[in-house]
Amino acid sequence: MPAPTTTLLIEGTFDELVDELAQYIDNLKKAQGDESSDIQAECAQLIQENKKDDVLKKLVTGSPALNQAPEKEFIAAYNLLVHLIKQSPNLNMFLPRVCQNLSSPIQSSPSNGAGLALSILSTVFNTLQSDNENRYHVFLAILRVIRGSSNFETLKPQLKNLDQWLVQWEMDEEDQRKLYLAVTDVASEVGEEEQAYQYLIRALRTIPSNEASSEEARELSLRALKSALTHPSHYDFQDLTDLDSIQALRNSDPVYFQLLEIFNADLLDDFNDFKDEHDGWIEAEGLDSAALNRKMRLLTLASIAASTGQARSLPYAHIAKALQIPLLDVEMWVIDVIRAGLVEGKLSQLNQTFLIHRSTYRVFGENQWREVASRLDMWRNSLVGVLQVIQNEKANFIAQKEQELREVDAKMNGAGLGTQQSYRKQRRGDGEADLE
Amino acid sequence: MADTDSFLHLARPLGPAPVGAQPSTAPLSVVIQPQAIFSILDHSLRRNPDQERVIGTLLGTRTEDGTEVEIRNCYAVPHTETAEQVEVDMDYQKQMLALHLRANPREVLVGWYATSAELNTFSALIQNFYGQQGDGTWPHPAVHLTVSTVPGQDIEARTYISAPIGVTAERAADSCLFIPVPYEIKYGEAEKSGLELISGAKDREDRTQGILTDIESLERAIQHVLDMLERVSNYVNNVLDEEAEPSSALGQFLMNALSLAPKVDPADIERDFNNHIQDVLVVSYLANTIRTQIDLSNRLATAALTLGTGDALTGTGGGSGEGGQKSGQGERRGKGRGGQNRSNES
Repeated sequence: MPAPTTTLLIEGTFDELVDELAQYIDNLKKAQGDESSDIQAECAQLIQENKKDDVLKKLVTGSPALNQAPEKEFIAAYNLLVHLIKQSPNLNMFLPRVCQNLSSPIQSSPSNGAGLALSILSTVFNTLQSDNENRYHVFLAILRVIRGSSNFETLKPQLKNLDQWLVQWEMDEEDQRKLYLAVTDVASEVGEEEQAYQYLIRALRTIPSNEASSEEARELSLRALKSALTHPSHYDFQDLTDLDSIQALRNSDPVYFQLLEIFNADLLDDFNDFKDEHDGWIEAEGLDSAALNRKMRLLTLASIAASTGQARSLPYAHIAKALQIPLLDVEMWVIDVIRAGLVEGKLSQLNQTFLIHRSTYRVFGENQWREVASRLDMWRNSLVGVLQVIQNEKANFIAQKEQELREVDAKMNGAGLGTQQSYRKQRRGDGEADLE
Repeated sequence: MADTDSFLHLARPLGPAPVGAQPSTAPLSVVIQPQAIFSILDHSLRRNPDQERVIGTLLGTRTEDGTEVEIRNCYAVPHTETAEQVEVDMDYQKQMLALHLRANPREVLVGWYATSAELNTFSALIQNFYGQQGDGTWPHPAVHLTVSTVPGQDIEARTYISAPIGVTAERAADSCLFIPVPYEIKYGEAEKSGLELISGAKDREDRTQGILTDIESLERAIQHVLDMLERVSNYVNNVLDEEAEPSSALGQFLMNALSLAPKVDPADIERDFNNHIQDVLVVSYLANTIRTQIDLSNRLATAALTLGTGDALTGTGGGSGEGGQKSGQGERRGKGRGGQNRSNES
């Protein structure tokens, strides 16, 4: 059952409502000294001629005046306008204008203006059918308002529906990209780097493979790559390397691509070789060398932890050598890498080893899948064993219960006899005692 | 409950703010406790056959800034609806609210419910009644919860708050805009497993369901886990056979989940287990010894009674420590004699 689409509930005919709204707008304008405005009369005339669209055009043209309406009346008046233009078959004609008006600042309420505009825009958004592509434009307007008021927090929980919406709106890839980039901009402006990066990746995914080497794709890819490299808590580069547009960098920007490869799978030594080979390149590109070094060390530690196999322990000396750090700093680095979520484990100071519980595989290949499969099998087998034991015990329990029942029955039957015998014995014993 | 609606909730309408605080348009969210839903459904089942929907009042708590409303309780309010007009028993509503507030002052009026997903102008009227100044939820927005109760279909719940619409006071009085707000039905683990058990009865002829014992539910849980494992390993095998698209994120996640078991040496386990089992054995040995001791002394005590020499009887009658000792002696003597006699006889 779909949700009710009419959430605007108002009584009164179209004509009456138009008249009221027109009068209200006139009053607002007059209050600002614009005496010439007479939308009410014009509308009345047009209604007489039954030109609804023209009436609405008049109202929408006059609607910027609503931005001066007092806070308390603003929402009510705008809702009325939304209600009216929704009656028109040519909704597309009016919506852009309304969105534009709402995106401009609302003079009457400097502190809550954005909230008011957002509330009207979301009403417009919600009253449109969920597969109406106008929702896309309204959403862009919402993003603009949010960007202007740095209000990303309110939008964040709602973004999870975005993919579903895009499917419903049947947007082409260009428009999707535009939307994702808008979200990226909004997110990065308020410092939500991780979110911004996620949406940047999504924008990159919308680039079709035959355009992967276009200039726009290149710029976006470089931007994504740079933010991935410098982001302090982003360690997964596989999603990047899977992208066509990133693969296209192999030809256009080979140095960047090489760096990406190193961060994706290689160790610190390779990174140092790279630095020797391209001396000064990192600084020239404006990348933070210290941050890259640190990240590379963490990744290297994750790699060597993953490569220990079944032993699942690493001597301190080995770590120190791979990370090119003094033996004393090993524990600090291990703690850092655990905090980054790449590895989990215990430090054994006594044995000078690091016992690994879990480590992240930077490249998830076939061997890793095999490992997963074998562990799954192991788990399943042991569970089957446990189940077997439980079932056996249950069967035993039932059998035992039956056995007991049978014994009780047998006792009941043989009861008279048994007590008599023992009684007799007792009597004999007593008799003997008396005899003595 | 199906929730396929797509809507955006970014800001609530600007309401009057309490003194000293800035009015805010922060979005609102609603948490529903299942017992409220149950009593709404119950109310819906008991309605008059000619009534399309029934309504009632929602009670609950509100956070200080009003951004989160929790619906905890509700009660029915009688109302009649015809094509032209709607009547709500306001006196009843007021009395009930006062009584509830006396019983539980922390649960305040938060809004109202209706047992149909439909919104109409009567809804707007009732909504304005609940949101009004004085008896209503003012200055907070009233929450409207609709629960669809069409037999044979899934139950769908929706929550709304309202915003005014219209530029004149008369217009605004009987109309409003319903703004959908996100909600969440919260229930605990215990409630969930209880409900699972009850819903097990719905597929059975006699509509009954026995309560599972611990061991049975353990068995069932293991079966359940096994089924899930089966599903996962199917996927993994498909990946290995190159039939399914591998997702490294998924693989990584599985790997992480599977390596949650801490790393322990089998030798260590064996050693620890052996140590432990020795402790257990010692304890059970000691326990057995003590039990034998108790058994023995019990038997000795009863034997004295049945044999019944003079001083043993007085001893047990007195019940003192000395008497007990005496009776013990008596017993031994008695038994010894009995044994002697029997051996003599044989």
